[in-house]
Amino acid sequence: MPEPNDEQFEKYLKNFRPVDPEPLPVRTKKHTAGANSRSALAACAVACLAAVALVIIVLSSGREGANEQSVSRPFSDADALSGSNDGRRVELTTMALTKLALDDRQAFDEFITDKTQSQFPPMSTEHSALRVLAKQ
Amino acid sequence: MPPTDQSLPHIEGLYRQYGGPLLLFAISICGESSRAQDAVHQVFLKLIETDRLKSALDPKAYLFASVRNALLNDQKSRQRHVPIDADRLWFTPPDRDHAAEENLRRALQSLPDDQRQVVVLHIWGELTFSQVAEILSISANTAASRYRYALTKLREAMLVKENSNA
Repeated sequence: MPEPNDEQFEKYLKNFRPVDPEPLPVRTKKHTAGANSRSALAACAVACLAAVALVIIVLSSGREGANEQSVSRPFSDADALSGSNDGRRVELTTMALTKLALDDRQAFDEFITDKTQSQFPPMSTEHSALRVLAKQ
Repeated sequence: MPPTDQSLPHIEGLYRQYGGPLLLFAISICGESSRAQDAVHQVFLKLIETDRLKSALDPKAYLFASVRNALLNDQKSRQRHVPIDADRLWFTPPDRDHAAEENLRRALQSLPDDQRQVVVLHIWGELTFSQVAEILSISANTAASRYRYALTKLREAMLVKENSNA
């Protein structure tokens, strides 16, 4: 390199561009836009979850309604007279029996007689406890 | 005073425009690229927080002075002088001439601190001698004479290096 004068040398030095610093660690406009899109995504996700939860609630309440409907449907006599021993069936039977007693007295009496015979000890023997008690 | 929507892009623009020369100036003071980087960031982050640049008569000179003050305060707290970090690039060289970049870097490192700062501010900071004088708290004449000495030494150092490589 021939020895340059000051002006040439300055020009030569200016060809070297200082290295740029790293980006500022701060929320600039671009970062804010990124954050906005992230929060929009989060909002969408929350909305989706809420929609799914709503659907589940509606479906489950529909099922409960169906159950309630099955519970409250009018019982047939056959239902009432089926003689099931589980708690709900006993309750249903009681309701149905009431209905039966109101609607068809004769059928109700027959049913009660049958039940009495199957559930209580027989009163036919002379010394049965029940007969003795009845006499007293 | 918090920054307004108008001031933030302005500060970002200043960072893009003067970030390189400010970083170089900071390196010429402290010798460490990472500390220099921190000082430049610190100045701009404070500006974003406070929006103090509005009140500055000469924003460019204000930025260089702020970086210098930040580094001097930091140096006071550290109470030690760190030798210049010789491995990091200071410049993007023309025509990817990395040998020339290293040559220039070493020549700059060989200058006394006060002369190196004047050269960096005048050539790469593109500041006038009065602005340089304001930043370094010296007279404009002192700034100009330091610059002349520095330029001569720099040229000699670079020529010697080039001739030894040839």
